[in-house]
Amino acid sequence: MMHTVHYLTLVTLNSDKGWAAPVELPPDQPQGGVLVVPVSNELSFFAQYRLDWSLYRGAGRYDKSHGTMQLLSNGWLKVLVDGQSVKFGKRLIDNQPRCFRYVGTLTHSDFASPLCEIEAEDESILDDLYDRKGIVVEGCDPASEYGGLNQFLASPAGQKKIR
Amino acid sequence: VVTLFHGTGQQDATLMQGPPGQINVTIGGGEFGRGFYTQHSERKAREWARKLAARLNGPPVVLRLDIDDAAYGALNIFYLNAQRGLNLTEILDFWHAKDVFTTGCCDVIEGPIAGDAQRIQQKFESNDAQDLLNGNQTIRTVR
Repeated sequence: MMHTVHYLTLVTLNSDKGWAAPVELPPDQPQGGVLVVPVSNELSFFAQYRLDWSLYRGAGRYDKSHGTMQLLSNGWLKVLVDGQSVKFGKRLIDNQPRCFRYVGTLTHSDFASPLCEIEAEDESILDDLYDRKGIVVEGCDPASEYGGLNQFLASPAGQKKIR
Repeated sequence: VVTLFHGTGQQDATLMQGPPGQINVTIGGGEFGRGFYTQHSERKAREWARKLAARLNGPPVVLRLDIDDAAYGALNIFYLNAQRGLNLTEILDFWHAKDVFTTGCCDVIEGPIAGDAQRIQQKFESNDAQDLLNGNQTIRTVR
């Protein structure tokens, strides 16, 4: 199965710092997330990733789409989003990649690997795709891809709505 | 005009839009404590709402706030850098106070999301800030 780009939030849960899905977090957790991909134990990219995005149609309606990110020989990940080429690389802070384990309670085969934050080589391309076409590059859909979500949503924590 | 965005569900966004606006700074919390949170990027606000769809009241949308420049500038705004933002979050985590803490010293706290200085959020926490968001000096639009 192809690895997938995820949208996760960096949090500390039970003293463990790592990634979790926004949908499984309490309402008072960070109101933002980033794109991350699973990597090898040496923190190297895999050859391909599936990248999901959606087109906003207004009034809360979205159409889903996806493409395949390919690892280039120069180390970048390249994908076509609605015909627009976008390159991603590991995000570095103080020359260090932001790589952590998943610390949440949901399941996905990618969560067995370390996960590293990625960022577009040129963020303005993503802004332009959103402004002109309503495209939101968002990673995979927790509702259809993550195990354990229905049980979480049935729990008292999962039933707390977020405004 | 200062333009800010809040990702949420359509039902809540419509209520907040009004008129009259019904943004309530005493409901909800986050990294900087109790308050109403916004950010500068509509795209990022929508990304976040998309990933929370199962926990929202209605499909994910964005509430856009166009706030009169002078009125926003008249608010008392406290700025946090990445480290101080993380420090505040750690303290609130320790005291389990993210849904109750307010500084009492200012109207808005502005600082990074999850310690990321490239992603800035605003927390509106005072009655004056709430009145500005809900009044006629702010245009509220559900998108």
